[in-house]
Amino acid sequence: MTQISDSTGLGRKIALSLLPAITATPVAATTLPAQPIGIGYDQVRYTESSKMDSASLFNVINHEAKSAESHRLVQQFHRESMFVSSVVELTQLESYQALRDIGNRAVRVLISDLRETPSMLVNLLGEITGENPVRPDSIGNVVSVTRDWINWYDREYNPIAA
Amino acid sequence: MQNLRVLAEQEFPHLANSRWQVTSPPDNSYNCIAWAAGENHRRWDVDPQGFWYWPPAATRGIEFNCLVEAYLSLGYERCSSPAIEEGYEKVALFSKNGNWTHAARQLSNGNWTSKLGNFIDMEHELGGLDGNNYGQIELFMKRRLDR
Repeated sequence: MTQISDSTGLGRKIALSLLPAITATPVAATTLPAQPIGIGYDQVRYTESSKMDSASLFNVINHEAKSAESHRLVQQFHRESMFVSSVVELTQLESYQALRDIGNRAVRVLISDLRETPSMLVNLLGEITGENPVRPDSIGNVVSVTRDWINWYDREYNPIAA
Repeated sequence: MQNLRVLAEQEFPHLANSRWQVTSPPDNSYNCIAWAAGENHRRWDVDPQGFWYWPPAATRGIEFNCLVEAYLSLGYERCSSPAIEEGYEKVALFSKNGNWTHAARQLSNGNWTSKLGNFIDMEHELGGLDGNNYGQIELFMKRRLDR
């Protein structure tokens, strides 16, 4: 099995073209490895004949579905958190809990939203990843705390941007 | 601005039957606890990760007494009345199910100013925010203006 980088998006086209095949021969989710933070098409495995193996195809499709769900939940979070004063209350929101359940697969969507608008989503990032990149002089400042998290993500998972 | 009023009155039904006005647009860079204490440049909160500010002399917790400790550490003392007192500023602390939920600050005209979560600042009458969202006013506190 060959590892091929897929910066062109070709893998996505292949994945979509093979949708009927995956429907016919589903892969048991329990056999798949846990998804790392920031998984992308560059982590898809291809066979020697340039076709993805079925496990990789499942991962791509599943990743797309989780990404779309995360986007929807982030918008729901912004609506639900509008009048909330404390982080403890935030953790009780349906959208917060659903994003937390998605876990690492939601991180890239959370970072993408934070790049647009600094927000309390940083607390969700902290809970999902177990990390704390917030510098002492950022404490309390939404923009600074968000910037620390984006820098952390770029440093760890997006070296070109870093 | 009209949409902001509609949203607020949907969330806090008592507002619809009282006088109130929006005083600043939505902003998530500070919250009600900070605003009532006179700050609008950082959030005060008790998140276990410690991303947000909390007065260092106070216990970091969601229980109502933790909020009382926070304001005590800022020089406030408990008081029994929301009436204006010359030389003092007052805050009203809200609780629901034993947890703190909100704080409002008295203005010199006797009205109150509140920051609603990540939403607007507003000037309102005292009972305008009572209800399911923030619960009820649990305590008034005051501190000298010439401190």
